[in-house]
Amino acid sequence: MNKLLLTFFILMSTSSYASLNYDVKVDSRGYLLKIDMVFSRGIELKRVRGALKNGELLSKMSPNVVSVTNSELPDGKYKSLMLVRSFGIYSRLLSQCVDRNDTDSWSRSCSLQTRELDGGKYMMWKGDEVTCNEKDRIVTCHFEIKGQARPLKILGLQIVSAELFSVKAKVQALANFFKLYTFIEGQSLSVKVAMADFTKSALKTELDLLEKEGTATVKGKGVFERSFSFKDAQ
Amino acid sequence: MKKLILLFCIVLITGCSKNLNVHLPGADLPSGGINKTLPVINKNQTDISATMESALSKELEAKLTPVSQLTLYQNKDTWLPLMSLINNAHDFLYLNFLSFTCDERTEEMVKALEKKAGEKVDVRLIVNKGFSLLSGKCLKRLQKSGVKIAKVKTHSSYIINDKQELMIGSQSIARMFFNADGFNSLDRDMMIYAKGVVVSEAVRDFVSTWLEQNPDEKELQNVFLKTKNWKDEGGKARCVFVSQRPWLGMRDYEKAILAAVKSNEREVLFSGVKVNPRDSEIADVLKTKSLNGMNVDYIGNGYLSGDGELAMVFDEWINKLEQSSFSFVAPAVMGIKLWDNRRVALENKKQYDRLKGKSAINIWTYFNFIHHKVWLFDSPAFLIGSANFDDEKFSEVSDAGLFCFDSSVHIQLKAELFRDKQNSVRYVVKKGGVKK
Repeated sequence: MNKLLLTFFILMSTSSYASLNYDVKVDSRGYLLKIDMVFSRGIELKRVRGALKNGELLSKMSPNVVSVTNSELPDGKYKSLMLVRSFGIYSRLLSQCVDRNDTDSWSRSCSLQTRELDGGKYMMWKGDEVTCNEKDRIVTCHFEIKGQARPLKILGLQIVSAELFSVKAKVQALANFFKLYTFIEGQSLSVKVAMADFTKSALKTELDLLEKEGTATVKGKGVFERSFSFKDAQ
Repeated sequence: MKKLILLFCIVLITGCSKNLNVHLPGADLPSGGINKTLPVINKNQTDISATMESALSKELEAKLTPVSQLTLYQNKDTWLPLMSLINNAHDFLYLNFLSFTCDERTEEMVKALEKKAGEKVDVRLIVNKGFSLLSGKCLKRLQKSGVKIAKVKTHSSYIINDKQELMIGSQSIARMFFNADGFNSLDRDMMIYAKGVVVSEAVRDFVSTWLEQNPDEKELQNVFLKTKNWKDEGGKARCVFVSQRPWLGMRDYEKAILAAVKSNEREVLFSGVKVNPRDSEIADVLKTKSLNGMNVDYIGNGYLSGDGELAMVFDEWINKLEQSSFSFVAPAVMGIKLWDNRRVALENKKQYDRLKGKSAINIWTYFNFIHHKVWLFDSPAFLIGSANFDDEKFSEVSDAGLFCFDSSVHIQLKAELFRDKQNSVRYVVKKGGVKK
């Protein structure tokens, strides 16, 4: 009986409706991806921040990210170098970031350095921001990623339009966010468990649908918009 | 064939004589002899807690929490608290060690684990994959009794139970560690016992390490979840469990050292089996601060210390051989041991020169084999764990330690390390070299 009561109290103390919503829009002027995450009660901001800032973890979860290396700049900012492999081609993307860190909030904003390394080959401009807050033992995070892609060309010939490239890139970005969300919701314990959970989840189904619909719509109209809401009762 | 043997001999002689004129670190005994008395340490007036706790809090994923009991143990004195921790387990008992050996000295512990597994306590043991090859029979015996075993790239050394008890440091479970007194031919080691909610983080570390090997056992997450609701009994000391799990990009161990070194003001004394500063930011900060007046001392191993666990095994063989009818083989084994000592000492020298370069860091080589990995910062901060200051290993194996703020244990630890320093020889870079 005592054990039953204990289990009940544990469930009560950790239960909350964790959720993930996103909204993506792609048109000829660029793209905007907004994501809102609410984590289960008791998952600490330190853990969320730790996972979201963890380049090694990202490279384990994403098939495209080879490595992420951060180097501090004297004015509190830092440079983040991401080595990405896509279609067998390696690209080095350099961003300049700044973090703001308090006991109950954390935010980071990064802008891609299109004039350095390979960033300018694929993007006209790109910036992302994340803000996380902890209140009543519940952490919420809001992400905004915006930018404008360049069309992919080989020998002057356009292979992929900027809009289609944006959709593909956002599918990859969302896959990374979904996996990180699953990992954090699993108490940041295991990448293997998180990956297995993600594969079986509604998030994976949504991602497959997004890729299919997004590719078809953007090819036809040149514009694509989609929203999604996921609630996970713990 | 003769030509081949001749060629082999030439290569061997050339190889062995290549560095004969090099001054090896720790080839002499301390000039004042070996001191067994602990020095008296005066209580420090200033307290680094506020600055350092804030620095740690910014960098680490884990939190500092109160600890109701904190006790430092030396060498073989770890046996009784380890056994007590095992016997106290009711729901679970988790062990994470580099190696686990069944021998005449550890038999009582093996039986205790078997008994606990028989009483339906969830007994799990994580051992290093490589080292597990040396104790296959022992692990099978434990498995047969119901102890679950996972073999991973661990370098950690800790044991935890459901009673919020933790014992952590750098010892493995083998006779040498429990026969050592710090002065005999075995190792010099330490472990620390802690009781409190800080153990929840150790459970997280264990479960995470276990799941990486056995992702199907997802229900183990619930054991960790339960510990998040443990009642905090409070306590004067404050500790944080620091974990290094490179496969998750979890680097709290490394980050804790860096944050502490950055915020430290007066002295840092650290120890380990080996050191490899490579491109480490920690080494850069230590070097700069040492030049700016902070005392930085490292206690490590020299020629006489040998090759750690291997040297201990060699010594055992030599002792056994000398007492047997095969005593004539003992000098040959001694020869191999000395050759190995020399090889390791040359490697240590390379790293010591690298650490000393452009700095005022003092390096000390212990007269025996140093196995503890301790960082003593300004009072009352210290870290006891399993990781050497090795920039390469930080990315290869998992390690764990306990970073604490407690003035009484700090004083005790300082006395122990000062005595270790007294029983060491200061390493001086000699250009041109003196043969030892």
